[in-house]
Amino acid sequence: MPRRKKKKHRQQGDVELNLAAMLDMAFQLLAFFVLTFQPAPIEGYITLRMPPPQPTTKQGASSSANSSVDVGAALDSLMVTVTAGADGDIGSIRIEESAPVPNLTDFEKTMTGMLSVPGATVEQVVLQVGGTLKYENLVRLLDVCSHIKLADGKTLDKLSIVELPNSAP
Amino acid sequence: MSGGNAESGAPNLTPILDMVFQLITFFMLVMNVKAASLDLAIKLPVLGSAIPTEAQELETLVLNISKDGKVKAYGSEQSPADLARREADLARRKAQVAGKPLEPTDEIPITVVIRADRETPFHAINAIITDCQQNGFRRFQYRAMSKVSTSPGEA
Repeated sequence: MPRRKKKKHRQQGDVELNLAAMLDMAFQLLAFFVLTFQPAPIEGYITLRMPPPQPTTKQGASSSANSSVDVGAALDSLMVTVTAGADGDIGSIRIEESAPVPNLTDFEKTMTGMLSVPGATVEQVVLQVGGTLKYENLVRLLDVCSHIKLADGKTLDKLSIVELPNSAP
Repeated sequence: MSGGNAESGAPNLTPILDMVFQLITFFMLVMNVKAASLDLAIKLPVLGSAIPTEAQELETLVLNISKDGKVKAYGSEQSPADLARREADLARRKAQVAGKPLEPTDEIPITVVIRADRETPFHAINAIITDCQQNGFRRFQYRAMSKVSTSPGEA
């Protein structure tokens, strides 16, 4: 009996949801998402703590020193001068007053040799960079600096960057 | 499981609607809201050893710097000095509301993300960094491509 009743009710007022309108809206939403979809680029990063450069007390003393290892062992701050070539490439790299380092690989080796000496306490590494150096080369330089190991086994993460005087175009 | 109303010949739209909703859900989930702050026209340098951006900093200020040193943030061109001052003020107010007020000499707990074009000269970037440092920002993140991208904006 109840089954029959149910059947009767269905036949009398068959309610059907019109899905076409909802489908239209769903397609519009889909079109929006497909058209605005932009896959995020694969980006990498180098994070550094960069306090503003402070006056260095050891700069004068270091300039009179001849041995780079001795300088590293006593330094609170280390000045690295990077000049820019004509096309924005790295021209030369000089650690304090020592002879220019030929390339970034040697720069990393020299810096690691200086800073990983037991007892070496470097409070800040100051990069004096030529104004025309391209960002591409700056990032390569910073990448090398961020890999340098200190005496306590940590990597160098405190850097200050200043512009080399009279180097802007 | 019928293919619709047999008498009227109308197709059953339920499965297609299900599929469309699934697609919408997929696109909503993979849509990167943070990518909106990135100017994809900027050609970043390629650096193989750069750490991929998986572990993101909590609070960042993304500065897109063009070849000629113009700064784009939040989708529009901005003066770096004004932007840094505004962001620093906002961070200080936030900290005050949170009950941990920052002293004027304290570090702003926001990482400045530098996304500069590979051709941008250092003097332009340095001017922006100095503006940020003067307003208390100390943490900087330099962005580069982890590998060569084939997308038109990054090639």
